[in-house]
Parts: sequence; C-alpha cells; structure tokens
Amino acid sequence: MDSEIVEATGKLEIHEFYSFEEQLSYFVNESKTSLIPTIPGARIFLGELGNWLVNYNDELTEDWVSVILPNPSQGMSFPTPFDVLSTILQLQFDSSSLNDQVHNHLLEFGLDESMATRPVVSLSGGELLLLNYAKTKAMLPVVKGLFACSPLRWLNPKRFEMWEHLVSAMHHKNKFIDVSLLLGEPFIDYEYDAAAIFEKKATIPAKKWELVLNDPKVTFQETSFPTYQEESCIEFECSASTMDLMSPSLVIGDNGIGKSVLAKVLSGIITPSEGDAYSVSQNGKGLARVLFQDSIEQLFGKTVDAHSQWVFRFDSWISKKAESIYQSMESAIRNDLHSFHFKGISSLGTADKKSSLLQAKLRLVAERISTSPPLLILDEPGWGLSKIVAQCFMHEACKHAHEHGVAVAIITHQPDWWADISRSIIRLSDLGKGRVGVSQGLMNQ
Amino acid sequence: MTILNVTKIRNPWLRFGVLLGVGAPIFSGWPLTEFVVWMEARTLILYGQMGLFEIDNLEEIVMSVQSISFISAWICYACILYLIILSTAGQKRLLEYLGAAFVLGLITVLSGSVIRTLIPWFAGDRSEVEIVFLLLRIFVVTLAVVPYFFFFVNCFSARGIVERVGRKTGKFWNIGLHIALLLRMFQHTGEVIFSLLDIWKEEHPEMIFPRHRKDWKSRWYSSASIVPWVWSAVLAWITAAVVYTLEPVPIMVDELKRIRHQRRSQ
Repeated sequence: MDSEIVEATGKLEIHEFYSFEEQLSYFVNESKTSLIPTIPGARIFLGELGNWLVNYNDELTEDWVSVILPNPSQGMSFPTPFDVLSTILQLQFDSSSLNDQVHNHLLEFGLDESMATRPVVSLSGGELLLLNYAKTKAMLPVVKGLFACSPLRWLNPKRFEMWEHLVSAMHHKNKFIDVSLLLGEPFIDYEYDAAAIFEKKATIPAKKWELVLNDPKVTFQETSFPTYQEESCIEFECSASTMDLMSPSLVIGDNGIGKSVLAKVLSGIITPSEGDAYSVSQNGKGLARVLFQDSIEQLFGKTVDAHSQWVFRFDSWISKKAESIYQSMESAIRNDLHSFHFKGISSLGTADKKSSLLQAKLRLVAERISTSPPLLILDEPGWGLSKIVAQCFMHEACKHAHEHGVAVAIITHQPDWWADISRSIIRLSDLGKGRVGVSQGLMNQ
Repeated sequence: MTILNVTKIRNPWLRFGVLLGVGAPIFSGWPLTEFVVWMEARTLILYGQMGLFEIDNLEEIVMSVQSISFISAWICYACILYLIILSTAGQKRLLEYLGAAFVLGLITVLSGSVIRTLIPWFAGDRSEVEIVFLLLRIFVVTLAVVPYFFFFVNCFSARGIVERVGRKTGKFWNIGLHIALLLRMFQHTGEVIFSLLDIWKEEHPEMIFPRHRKDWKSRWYSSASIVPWVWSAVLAWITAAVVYTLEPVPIMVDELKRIRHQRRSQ
C-alpha cells in the first residue's frame, strides 16, 4: 500500500493515494466496509460477493464507525433522506421527536425540509454528500469515528463550511477522523501543491460551439407513492437564445441547481416539457454525449474491454476509430506521467487487463468521441482521479475531442483544476421559483 | 377510488394481508382457475347449443376456448390490479410499472418465439396455434404480475420494519431484519432499473436498436443481426440489474447488523 500520512492533527489523519484503486483498498481494509468494486466486471463481482457471503460473520469484532464512501449514494441504505436519518436517530430519540430531529439534521447541513421525502436516487452528487454529512452527525453518539473518502468537497465553495462544521462536531465529541484523499485534492487548511500540468503541455486550441436554449422547461411530476413529492420544475432562462462559446467550457453552479439536468436535456435523456435545447459545433447540430458523475455504472456491469466489444459489435469501422483514440490517449497519459516522474504510474492499470477507473473513463470517452457528437459533456471528470492524472486525462480528452470536431463541456465544482485549459464558462444561477439563469463568461472574467 | 387506496391501511400486517388477498390469483391461482373453468364450460355449452362442434377440429376448439377464457380472465384481473395501483400510486407510477411490464413481456415473448422457431425441440409437439396462445398467456400474465410486484414491495417501508422489530427481542429481530433487507433489495431493483434506463438511453438513443450498427447495412444477412443484438441486450440488462442491485447489499447488511447490536446493548 503506497499511502502516506500527510497530516495528523489530534484525531484527524489524512492519507493520500495515487489512484482510486489504492484509495479504495486502504479504505475497505481500515474501515472494514464490505465494499465490492464493480469495474472488474460481473463475474469477478459476483465471485467476491459469494466470498463475502461464505465468510459472513454475524458477530461484531470492531467498533461501529461512520463511513463516507467514494460514491456518496452507496452509503444510503434506505430510499429517502428521512428513512436514512430516522433509522439512526431512532436509536437515540423516541418516535415523537424523530420528525423534528430529522429536519434539524437536514437543515444543519443546508438541506431543506422538502428534501426529506425525495428519493435518494434523485438527489444530486453534492446533495448526497451533504446527506452523508448529516448522517455522520446523526451517528456521532454511537460511533467511534469516521472513515471518509473523497470526493469530500464535491460542493459549491460556499458550502465547504459544512464539512468543517462536521469535523469540529467530531472533534468536540473526541471522535477520530480518517480521511482518504487522492493526490492533489484540497482539504480544509491543507492544499497540496500539485504541479501545474497544463503549463508543461502544449495549449489546446479553443473550438467554437453554440449552446441554443429556447427556454427549456423540465417538469418533474407530482408523485404520491411510495412517498409524496410535489411537482417541481426547472426552467432554464438565458438572455439570448444562442450562446457563442469556446470549448473547453466549464459548467458551474450551486449544488442541486440543475447542471446534470441540463446535461440530460442536451443529450436527449430528458425531453423538456416546453422549449428545447441543443448544441451546435463543427460536427453540426445534434444530441450531446455524456460521461456521468458515476461513470462506472455506464459500463453496464461489464469489464472495460467487454463493454467496448459489446457497444461496437455491429460497427467494425467505428470500433477501430474508438480503439485508436483510446490507445492514443492512454499512451499520451502514460508518457506524460512518466515525464513528470509520477510515482503511482503502475497503479493506473495494465494494458492487457484493463480494470482501473482511469481506463474505464478513457474507454467511455473514446467511444463518445468516435461517434462525432457536437458536444461531449463530462460531469465531474476528476472523480476518482488524482489531480495530476485528472489533468492529463482531461488534456488528452479535450485534445482528441477537438481533433474530431467535438466541443467539450465540463461540469465541475473544482474550476481551478481546469482553469488552464478552459476557454469559457457557463454559469447556472438560482433566479427563484424553479427558474435557473444560464449566463456565459470568459475564464479570466 | 379512495376505498381502493391500500396505503390508507395503517396497520402493516393488515395491509400485508389485503395485498396477499389481492395477489391470491398470482400465488395460488384461486379463484381465477375456477372462473376460467366455469367460463370454458359455459362457452363450450354455448358452442354445443349453436352446433359449432365438428369432430375434426374438436381438440382445436377446446384448446382455443381454454386459452381465450384464461386470457380474458387474466385481463379482467389485471384491470382490477391496475385500478388498485392507480388509486394508490397514481397514474405516473402505474404507467412506469406498465412500461417495465410491457418491455419484459415483449422480450420474453419475442425471445420465446425466436427460440422455438430456431430450435423446434423447445416447441415439443405443440401446434403453431398452441404456441401462439401459450406466448399470449405469458404476455398477459407478465402484464399483471410485474406491476403488482413493484407495487407490493413499495407498499412497505424497510425503515418501518427496522423500527418495529427494534421494539421486539430475540428471533423477531433476526426475522425482521432479514425481511427488511429483502424488501429493501427488491425496492432497490426498481431504483436501479430507472437509473440504468438513463444510461441506456444515452448509449442507445433509439432504445431498441444499437447506436453503432453500420455493419447491418453492408451485409446481406444484416436483418438477422437483430436476434443476437436483442439477446445480448437482454443479457446486458439482466447482468447490470443484478450487479447494481446487489452492490450495496453488503453495506446494507453491515448497517442493519450494527443497528441490531446497538439496540441490544441499550
């Protein structure tokens, strides 16, 4: 295990890792969490699950610890935030005060009461992270400490204080915190001085593209089953219907404002109830392709190579094109990391057995570029990657996308990571009553 | 309509009993089997009175009457189920459940039909008409059972069970937690399917055809490629649904085990 304690203050320990796989391995070993990765494919996953079942021990040998997993949705065992929190809080409070306690915990971490009955699966990445904080706080009296895994700061900067609030509550109760970060991730007072990779590489020429928004409105219908959820809508408003942008573009905005919803509208996954939205670039007008936040699920339970073979089974020409893009990106990243003397290069996976998160992302990106869409949207592309690797990955992704006429939009809460390559910004801001303002700007503004 | 709203029944045991009663034809066949037999008899008597029987096609007529009675009875039963789901869960949920049932039914019937055509051994000594009726029966039953299943598992709260068994001791704890876990796993299947649907739509915008299929145009046997495609798509869906449904199970088990331990120590 190539981990290093980079900071240890009182009961807080920070460990840094070169890759997602190393980080996960440490996290699982230390926290005794039964987390089985799915990237190696269904067969290995089911084998591991079988092992877990065979070796299952009903007795408890370790103290209870709270965990914040790499995928914030995985720690949520129940379908709604209310269920998640009340299951824990019922250990400390009687049922008459449970409602108030749940709402207090939600409010403490910036989540309003209406969120209590929303399905966990409908929450955004940032909202899920805040719910994890609230759950950890609720567990404080019954746990020994917290094992937390990045992305701990998948939040709008104005919400960073939520994590600090949780840390101080843990310290106050004398609980330990063990944080696993990926190299280069910021953490409270600690900022890793990562090399500015982009400065060392050739600049990517900007590419023009247009975002056309004819006041698209997305309506989420009222549901009464299994829990009540009132009708809500997101109406994207823009001063001009066409925005002239330069790729790579950053998409920024508060947690839960609708960045991922906009990506789904542009890619045709969600059809707006009113208006329409699309992108136009060198490749013409059409639906965008997306790399989701939780990109592992996009492998559809297959291995990295098996997914690629399955997708291109009936198109040998485009299969070769995607393979060549993949090989070009992977070798460029390996060369870059080698030239930067990056110690964790071996942890990026081997060429014959592709099972690392980076390889999965590269495969999915290569497949999307090869289809020549007008726009490629990458939702939090840095997830699970150390800063250096993430920057190399994005540099190659943008370079290859531009070469194939594809514009790139990056949804992010860490704009500083991509500041050197991005050429324009799309800002989403809350205008109230479900209206979301979409405005553009240049990086230097 | 409110009278059919199952969630209005506060007592979960009573609700469980009512839902079991509503699902009795699925679990035991009663009283649908009796109804089908009665309908068959009435129809055959009617046929006899009208003088429509001929010795040559007697077997075929009996089989058709049996199948039509079965299908009609299940359609009526499905409508009752839909009415209950509609009044409890609303139109949106009913349509979602129906959508899932329709796709599953269609895949089952189409793959069954293709397999029976390609490998006649599967069809046995059944005639073509018999096979058509058999597939129709499967389709109608799927349209009734799948929405009922989704509705059933969502009528109960896993949290509620954990909370209730928390007040009990001994073996009730274990049984209760196992039920809660099983229920939550089935509920999670529904959540997984809807999130996989987004991924599928991004990958294959036409939903029923693959995004990349240029080879289909260049080869003379291209139209036959739909069969391996459908088969691989079905397998992919099953694999993905199984993997992502089971993925959080160890963590859920761990959490429930911890809660049980905490309860015991209090």
